[in-house]
Amino acid sequence: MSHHEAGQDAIERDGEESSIERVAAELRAPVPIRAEFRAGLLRGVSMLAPPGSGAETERVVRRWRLRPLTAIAAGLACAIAGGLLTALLLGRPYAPPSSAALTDLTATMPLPGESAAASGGHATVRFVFVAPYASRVSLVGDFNRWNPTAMPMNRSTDGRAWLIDVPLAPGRHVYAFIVDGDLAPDPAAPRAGDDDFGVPSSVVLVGGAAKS
Amino acid sequence: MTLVAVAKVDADSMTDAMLVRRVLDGDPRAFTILVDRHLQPCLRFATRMLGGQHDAEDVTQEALLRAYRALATYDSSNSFRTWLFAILVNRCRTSLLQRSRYTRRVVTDEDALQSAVSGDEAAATELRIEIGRAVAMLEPDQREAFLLKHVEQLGYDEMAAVTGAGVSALKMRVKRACERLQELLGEVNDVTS
Repeated sequence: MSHHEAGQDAIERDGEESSIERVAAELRAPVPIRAEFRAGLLRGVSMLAPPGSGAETERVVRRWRLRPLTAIAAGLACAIAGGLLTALLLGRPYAPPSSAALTDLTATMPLPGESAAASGGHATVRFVFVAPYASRVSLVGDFNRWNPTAMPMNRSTDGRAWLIDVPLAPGRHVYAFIVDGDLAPDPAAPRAGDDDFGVPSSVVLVGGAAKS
Repeated sequence: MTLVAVAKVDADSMTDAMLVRRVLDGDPRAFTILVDRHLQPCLRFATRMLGGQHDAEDVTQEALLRAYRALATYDSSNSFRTWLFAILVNRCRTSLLQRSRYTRRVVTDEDALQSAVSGDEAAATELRIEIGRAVAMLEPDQREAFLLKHVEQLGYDEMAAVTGAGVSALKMRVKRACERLQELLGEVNDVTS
């Protein structure tokens, strides 16, 4: 290779390196970290047992991550079984619920995979957040792993409040609302006293065998 | 106020290994500091690797929760970042496998394009989108190696610990990724240089 060719190679190599460095510099730019993502992550961590304790780590109930079809099918089965039982007891024919009623019913149904006895203590809790000017409100809590997309709330008919009905097991549940991307505690409920990770949150107690 | 400032300085001066020790000794708040130190590079790697914010957040959250659960297994003689990235890289691989195809969401970043006001900004945004598109077109193992080397700036030994691949294989992946990127971005580079 002549001097000239070697020099040309070096120039090309330098050019290649600088173009790759330009690409890398562009890719090194920080990505946005959403506040609710960070808060949900830290809340998720706070739901775990201390590392190395050997305890079953998650207090969070995984059953919320059911596929919708499974939940609907199980809800339908429970609804029909319940209706038949009622018909037998009351001696009148059973009419299957309408799809609208079924939507409501699945929200209060015992969750699939649970035995009837185990699910007996569930109670449906209506969460309400008054925010007439919000465009999007969702419920996050230890019962849905602080997943901001798991429980979008519905606007009430008068447009002032946001609602969702959630069946909860007996015990203490920590939760908050995400209002247009910002985390907000429930102004009408006691604040959680264990804000280890600095996330504003509230507490709801569901009757039965309460756990701490 | 002074006490808060002192506590912050203390925390900032602690190494990752010291913070891990504090978590294991029963102070979960120390993990928040670790999260804040490493969240940006983890989320950035996952975003560049998977191409979408939603998936990136999912795998980053999963990786950090796994790291927290497995904290007792961390060997403090090694870098915490390397250990954490090994978990993250695995989560990204699993996510890509589950998806079975890589959808290039970067390409659809119309919002970014529309929000650019001046000609220079528009050109910069366009370049960014072109780079995202080119990175998305790399083979996953090449993309992974390129991002670890040139974006997260890990050494080859660290990369070997993170990926489980040999150093020479990683060098080859990075080289091929660079060549492919230059090929894909050739036209853009010609325009912008």
